[in-house]
Amino acid sequence: MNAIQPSDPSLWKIVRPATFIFGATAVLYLTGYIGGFDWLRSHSLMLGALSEWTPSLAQGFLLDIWLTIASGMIGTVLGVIIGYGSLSKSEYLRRVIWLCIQFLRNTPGLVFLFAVAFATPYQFDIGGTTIPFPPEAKVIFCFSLKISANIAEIVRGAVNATPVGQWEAGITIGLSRFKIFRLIILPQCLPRMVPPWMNIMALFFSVVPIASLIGIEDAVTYAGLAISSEDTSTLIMPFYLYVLTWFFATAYILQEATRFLEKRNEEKTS
Amino acid sequence: MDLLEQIGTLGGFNYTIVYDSFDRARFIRGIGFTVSLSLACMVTSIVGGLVLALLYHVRGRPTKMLIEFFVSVFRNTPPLVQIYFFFFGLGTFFAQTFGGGFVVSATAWAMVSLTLFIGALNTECFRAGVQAVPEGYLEGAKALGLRPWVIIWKIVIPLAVRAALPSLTNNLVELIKATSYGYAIAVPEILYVSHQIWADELNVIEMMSALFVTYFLLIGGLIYLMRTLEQRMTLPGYGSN
Repeated sequence: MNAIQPSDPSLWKIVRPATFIFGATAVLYLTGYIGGFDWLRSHSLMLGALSEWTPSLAQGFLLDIWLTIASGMIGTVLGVIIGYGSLSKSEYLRRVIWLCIQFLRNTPGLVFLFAVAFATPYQFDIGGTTIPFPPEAKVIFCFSLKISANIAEIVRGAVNATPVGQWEAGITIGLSRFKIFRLIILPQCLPRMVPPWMNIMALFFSVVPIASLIGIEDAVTYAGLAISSEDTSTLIMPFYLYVLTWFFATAYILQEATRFLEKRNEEKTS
Repeated sequence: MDLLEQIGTLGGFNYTIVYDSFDRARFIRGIGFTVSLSLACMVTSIVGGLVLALLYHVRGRPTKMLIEFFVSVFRNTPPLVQIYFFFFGLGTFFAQTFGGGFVVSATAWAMVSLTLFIGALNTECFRAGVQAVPEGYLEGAKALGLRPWVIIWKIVIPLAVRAALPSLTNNLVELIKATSYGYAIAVPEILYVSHQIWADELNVIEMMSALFVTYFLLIGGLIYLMRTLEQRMTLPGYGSN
């Protein structure tokens, strides 16, 4: 069974379905572009409209990706800090952090987003300087908090799975608690934490479109705009299907990459 | 000023849901709606997920691929867009194809789409549960001459459900949180109702806190119930303690 393979096929396996979907989209778009919208429109209303609206949808979709990445980065840093705090020796601190994590994880993202969007000001005036707080920043604020709670749980789980001897060894060479965490524990946990981390990112990538409900112009907003301006109800289904396909293609890569890493971790440990 | 109004306006806040009977009735109806929507979707998504997970293990390769496709599509796309697709897309499509008489409410479409979304998550977790059933048990059951459906009903399902309970809890929490997407298509659940109230009374912060508390209690209650169920269903000789 162990035939030697010329190259590592796993990466291609991950990317293949996505390239197919993106390729089909590109062909659709290019034929619409080269052939001229009018020509396509007369032959196929649906393809013409879809290709015509593709740039706007792509713009909104990129905003979705950007919001996910930005809040993911902030949320990860914050989550590691909160995760470290949830391992604190002080019982009081642990309880407070536990409550915060539960609160952030167990309330709907939409309600949290509304609370941030409607109950915080547009700008802060601190000592004469005005700091603007635009909707995009509010979305990133909201999602980075929600992501951080999930990351904190991952960090806590991973740290609890490392042998206590690691901590004890760190103490014997005179490291502080934070230094043990940062230099000894965290590097060991990293491979185990990456797959669930990617799961969280994929999860929030599919939650970010709710930002369209507070007026962010993301892919869903543009889909709605496209539908209302094309003014035929036959286009509603294709447009939403089109947006779904984009999200699916992107999240599918993440899912397959996560599975690949999980499998590799299992092989390493066994 | 009666007592309720004093309580509702305590500390400069304006909790109209405490003293205004109209707002209170609306809010309570919203809670009832969220709860019943969640319960209905729980039943359908658990049954559907279990059936698909069993089919995945019993049936041949095409069924397997179809189920895998279903699961990865619904897991990897935004639930909000799914709801839009079902309500605006399929809703208008059906209405056009079957004439004006074919009208399905936003609530029904929300139920369909949430069932499929959470059903996909449940399929995944039950599938892992079915996989966790030891091979030896099945062989033993076969050796006793049990019929296939008896094996499934008496051995596979009880063990698979037990193994799947922790991740099932997560999915059901996800479901309660996802019912708030019904807001986008005007399903009169608690978020939509609260939006109406704060639009009327201009008490955003009060309604937000009420929403947080309500969701926190609903989800906390669910988690507590599921933990209790988990403890009740623990098999002797299994688990950590």
